[in-house]
Amino acid sequence: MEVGTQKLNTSNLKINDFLKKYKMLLVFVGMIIISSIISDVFMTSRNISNIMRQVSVNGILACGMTFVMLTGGFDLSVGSLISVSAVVAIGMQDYFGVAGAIIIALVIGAIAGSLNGILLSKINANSGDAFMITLGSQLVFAGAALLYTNARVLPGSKSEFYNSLGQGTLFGFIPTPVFIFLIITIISHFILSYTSFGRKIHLLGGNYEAARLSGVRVYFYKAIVYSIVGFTAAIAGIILSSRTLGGSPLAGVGYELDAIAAVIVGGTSLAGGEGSVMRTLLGVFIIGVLSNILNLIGLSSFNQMIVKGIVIVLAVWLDVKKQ
Amino acid sequence: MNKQAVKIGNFLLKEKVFSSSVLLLIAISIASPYFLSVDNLRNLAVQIAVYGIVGLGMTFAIIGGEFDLAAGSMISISGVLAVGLEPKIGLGPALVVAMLSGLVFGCINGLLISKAGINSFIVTFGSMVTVKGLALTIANGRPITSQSEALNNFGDLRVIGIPVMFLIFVILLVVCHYILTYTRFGRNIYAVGGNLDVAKATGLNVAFYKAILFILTGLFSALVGILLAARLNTGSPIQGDDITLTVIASVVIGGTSLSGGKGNTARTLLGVFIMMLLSNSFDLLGIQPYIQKVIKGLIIISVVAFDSYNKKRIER
Repeated sequence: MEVGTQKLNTSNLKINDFLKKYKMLLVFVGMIIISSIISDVFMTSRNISNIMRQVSVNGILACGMTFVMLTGGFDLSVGSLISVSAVVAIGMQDYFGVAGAIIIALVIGAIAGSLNGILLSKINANSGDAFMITLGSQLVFAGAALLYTNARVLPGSKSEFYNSLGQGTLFGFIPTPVFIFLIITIISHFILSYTSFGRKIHLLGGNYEAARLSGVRVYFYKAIVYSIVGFTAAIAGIILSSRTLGGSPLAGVGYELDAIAAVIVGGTSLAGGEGSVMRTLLGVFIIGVLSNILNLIGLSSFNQMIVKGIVIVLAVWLDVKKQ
Repeated sequence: MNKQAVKIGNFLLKEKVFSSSVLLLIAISIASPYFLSVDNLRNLAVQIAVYGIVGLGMTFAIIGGEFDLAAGSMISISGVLAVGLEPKIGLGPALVVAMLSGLVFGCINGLLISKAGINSFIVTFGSMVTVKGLALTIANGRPITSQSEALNNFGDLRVIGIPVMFLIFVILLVVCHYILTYTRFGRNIYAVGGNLDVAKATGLNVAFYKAILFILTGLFSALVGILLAARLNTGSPIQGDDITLTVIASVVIGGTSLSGGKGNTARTLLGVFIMMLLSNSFDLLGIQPYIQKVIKGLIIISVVAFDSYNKKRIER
């Protein structure tokens, strides 16, 4: 829950307060300034559009993950769900048409996610249980995707509409996946910040007992957030398969950890209750800009991993210090 | 006599994982004549040793209320260092450096978590990525073939027919069991994992114990990295990738709870045993790897779900 700006007597304290609250934003601004100094290409419109394209898949997934993590939950299975959605959305097009295949993929994502959710809420899982159970379903979904294509990569869609989802441009300047990412961010932000549904999710993560005693249907909310992240994973899978022109059963490997990292770097607590979509957005962009600038300065992918891991830990360290 | 039977019956009913592993053992011995062959049993023993040693480190961590996602990367880098440095500085020093890598990364993880107070998921996730990047850089992205006769021979060494790696595991198992059960150090780890606030209030140096957990997983992982390199005659920068989560799953399936404060090494042995037995049986029966994935996933889900459901029912 957002704490309103407190009225403080001295301006000095106010600045301190501001610094504490927006530390990650400052980190982000700092990164942008440094990046534009060390690379001429960084601030070009072409590169910025590149960054946006690159972050959109992780960003969409991270929006869904924010819902789950706000309730104090955890979902390791969404990477595999991306793979399932990628192969289903491409594989089903021959039988049900593009629209049909997309709908099937989205429905499968939401249902598979809610299976996690129903089970986790039935056993009243703590975060350790959620870790293990979604690890189990990660294996199940990954196996299912591999079985569906018999471990082959399906050739890309013949539909121009489908391919434009990952590669096209809308209104002449905004890449389609970025547009979809923005829409999902806005919807998620609206739901979490301005609806009673969103307030209940915050309450559930912040104080489970209080939420239960005040009449929130905790089982329902615990289950529905996993359905939401499953749905966003399906969208991410569709975009990914459209962008890479193929349905790979390994498309989503590792995406779950990137999304979780983005949510945490943004400052949403692993314990639940505190956080927002806007913070997640910041986390997504911090990681995205970092990858981009490391690419621009020509660091090998191995060395990029070294820097990325260190920076993620440092970013969270900065955030921890405020408490 | 009758009382004894009832006792055993009750035990088998209570310890479902144990009973199912016995059933599985009987079933696979009947289904595949190759299972009980010496070669296959040796193979199984080595698998159990590799996952079991990492599992021992992870048992400390999980009892202490934490887990370490970086274990796999630390296995990889230790193997790469041991094999890569051997031609340059000799086998002994190379092994020392490999073990030191586990100590150093374990210390860094431990300090960041206990002193800086950063969430352990993020720290070990970050070091998983960083250390893997380091291993890939050192190995230039490719597996390195071991040139040391001594190391390669050690990997295939047997004492009275038993792979030496398995013996190392058994020794470590006994030592860890002793430490956890009979020493103050061990009991304090249970205390830290069981209730952190109480442990703090009684004056335990909680930061020290939290840091130690990650140093132990680092050291055990580094050891496994060396053993794997010896066994496979290669140091691969992606060797450990799939090991971490399988090990965490094994420890939990054995019955050590992820919420901390409970569990023991015998349970870890049981968990590792059944997971490796499953893999081995699947391979012998020729089940497709993707179907293996699905079945393994379903097993993890059902064990954890039953366990958690029962716990909460008892609490109520």
